[in-house]
Amino acid sequence: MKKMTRGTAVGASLALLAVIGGLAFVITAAQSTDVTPPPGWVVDKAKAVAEAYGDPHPSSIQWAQLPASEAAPLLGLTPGEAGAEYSRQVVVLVMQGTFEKKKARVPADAAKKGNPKGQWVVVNFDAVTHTGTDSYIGTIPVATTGLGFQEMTKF
Amino acid sequence: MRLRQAIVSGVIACGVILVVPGTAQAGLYHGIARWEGAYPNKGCKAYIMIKDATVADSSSKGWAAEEMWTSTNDKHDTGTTWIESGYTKGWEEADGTYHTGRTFFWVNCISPGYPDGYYEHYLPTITCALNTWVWVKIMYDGGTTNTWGIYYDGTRWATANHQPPNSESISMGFETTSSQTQFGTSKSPNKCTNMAFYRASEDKWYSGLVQPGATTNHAIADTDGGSSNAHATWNTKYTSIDNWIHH
Repeated sequence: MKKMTRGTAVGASLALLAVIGGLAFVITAAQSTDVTPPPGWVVDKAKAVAEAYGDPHPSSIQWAQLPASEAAPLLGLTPGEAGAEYSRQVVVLVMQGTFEKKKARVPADAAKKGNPKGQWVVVNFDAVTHTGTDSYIGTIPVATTGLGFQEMTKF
Repeated sequence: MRLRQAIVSGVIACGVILVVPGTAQAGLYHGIARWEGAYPNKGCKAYIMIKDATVADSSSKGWAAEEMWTSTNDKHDTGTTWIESGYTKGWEEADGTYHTGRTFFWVNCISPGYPDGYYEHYLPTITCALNTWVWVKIMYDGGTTNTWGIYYDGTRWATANHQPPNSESISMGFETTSSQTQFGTSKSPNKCTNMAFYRASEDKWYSGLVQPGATTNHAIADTDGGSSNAHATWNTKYTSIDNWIHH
């Protein structure tokens, strides 16, 4: 069995340090991706939506910017059609809380039952114009897995 | 024979319009024509005049809309599950941003309860020009996800998902958030004409009475918001209505 020389030991240590350093860089990079803060206008929209739906402090707020066509199923839309155009990017907010939709558009029969309520709210905003055209409120859970959603700091 | 009589009685009973006082959504007013017990249909259409409105509660983000509703999932009324489509003067984004202009919109409300899912959509990129006529149509496609097409002037713009057939209740007319809104007048009313629904089994459009002997097809001025200012009258019986609110 060969004995390790001093030079070899130093070389091995440096290599180990380089590997550890590389790993640390990768982990740090991954962590920084996970905690990318939302743009200020998105936070402002989230606060306004929560307020408008009657729960200023939702228990969960997720956000993502993605092609409107990919966001379509979350908002009851069909890829490529109005609101879910292939060329458009949208910011989508998915909130959990205790919500009520005021001034909802409901026929006479349903109006007797009051405003729509639910634990889930999903809304979109155009990434360029910041205009929001589509929304959902209800009790059907919303699945965001695999779409790049990140949790927003509660307010 | 008794069974047959029972079935006939049941069908007639189901066709009766029930006006039940309850906890109404505050400040919604309708002037509509409504059919119930019109079974089994898979679509409806109407030719609607786009008119201006003075929305009395625009300062609190109110609106006035002329539109069409259809029930789904074999429901006799539009109390829990429906699709609606039309145009609105005044509309609000989810964050409360308010627009005073006109736009087309559609709603899909999915429910065994009320609601399991209420989806609201606006289409501001489509021209919604004053004093023009537009065909509004909602048609069942079928398929595993039970989709319905949303059409304006024959062009399909959107798809409502997860709504089983059939339609048994169809309403057309206006909805607004204030009894003081000015939307048409008795001398110059809003108009819904050529109202019809589609019976897929016969591949045929019907206007007016579709259920022989039915007594439930009529226009009503629905005053569920407590307004005495909402009006709807037949222009051509079972086909066209005039509607207006306030004066």
